[in-house]
Amino acid sequence: MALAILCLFKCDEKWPVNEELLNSGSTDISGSWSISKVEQNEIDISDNYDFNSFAIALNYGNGLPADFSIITEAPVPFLTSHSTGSWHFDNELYPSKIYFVNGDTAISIIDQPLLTTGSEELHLEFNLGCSDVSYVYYLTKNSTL
Amino acid sequence: MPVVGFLVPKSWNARANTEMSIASDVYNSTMSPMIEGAIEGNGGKPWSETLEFSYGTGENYDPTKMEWVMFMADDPYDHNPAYLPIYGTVNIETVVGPDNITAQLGYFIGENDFGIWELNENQDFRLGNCIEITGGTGAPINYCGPEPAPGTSVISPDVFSYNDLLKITFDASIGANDEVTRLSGASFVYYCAEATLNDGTIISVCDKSDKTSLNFIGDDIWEITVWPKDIFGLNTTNEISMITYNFQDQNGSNIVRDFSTGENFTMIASCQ
Repeated sequence: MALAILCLFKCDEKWPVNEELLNSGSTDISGSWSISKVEQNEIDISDNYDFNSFAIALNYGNGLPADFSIITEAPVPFLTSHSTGSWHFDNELYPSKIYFVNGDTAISIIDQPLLTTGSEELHLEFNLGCSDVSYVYYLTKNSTL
Repeated sequence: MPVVGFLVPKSWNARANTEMSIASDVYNSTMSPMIEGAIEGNGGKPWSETLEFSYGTGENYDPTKMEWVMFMADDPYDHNPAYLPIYGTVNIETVVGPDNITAQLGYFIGENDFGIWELNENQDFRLGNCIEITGGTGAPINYCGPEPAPGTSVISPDVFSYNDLLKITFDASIGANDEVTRLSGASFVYYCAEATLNDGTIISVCDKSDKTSLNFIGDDIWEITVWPKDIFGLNTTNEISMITYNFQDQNGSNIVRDFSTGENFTMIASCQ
């Protein structure tokens, strides 16, 4: 019944719903992610800057988003300036935003239907201080050892 | 109703930051900003558009940075010719914006009830001297001076904050007097920059390292993408008040600056 009511309010949302994940009740993007492509104002700037050494680990605890950590050799601008902290979705079932928290809260729009891509790719859209300059980071999940 | 047009830099937001009144022996009134797009009755176009078309934007080289802001008296005056003309004074008190701008301001006075009638001479227009605002933030911008060298160095995106990734393109073929710069045909070009912080501290970077080396694109075109926070080794970019830069070869014997000013190029964070 709860799901049916949710559906009344949510079925017109932007992203299609994956029933399987919906039933499992969680969106799991745990793991380590690297940058495969960066767009600035819809222009591909991947080759203009060294994004290669950047990796962000998104960890879960008790099945829920918990902490994150960022490791990078060359400094890479990211929506949070902290290298560790906690993270969560705006909505576990239908995430459209990710919050990275460490003192201040940085918000990123998830620019992709998270629930239907097998969670191997993650697109994050955000600003770095100027609302006229938008970034989309295309993250790819690193293979687990 | 009398109307007054005030030509000012847009960044001053004069509509919200100006007090205006009109005073004479026979007529006094406070004045208020007109709604944006208010129509000049004779030509049928907005007042500010009409003034820009008829009187321009002064010596300021970039008209898009200036605006005509319109004010109208709150109280009517007596149109009876027996009382005209009225000799009076318009008092304008405005708060300047945060930037170190030099600009030429302009002043128009006219009549809203009938609009502009050239033959009736029911309007007047004057430009002031260029005035310089000091003690603000950021690199000085002189709208009255020569336009910054077009094309020698271009920053992308054109609107940005100091926390953005900034691509600087250097065209070594565009120098003064239609000649090439001293770095035309160079084998290596480096980015040398100075950040001035809010407390006056200056951080210089001119290490001729891989990080400050421009990439050759072809035909005397070079590029580098910098993240100011990284290149100046700062914890936050909030404290940067201005960045200036030039281009140099390996041993610094050839340096290219902005040929229109003779000074370093400026990176001015323009994000509002």
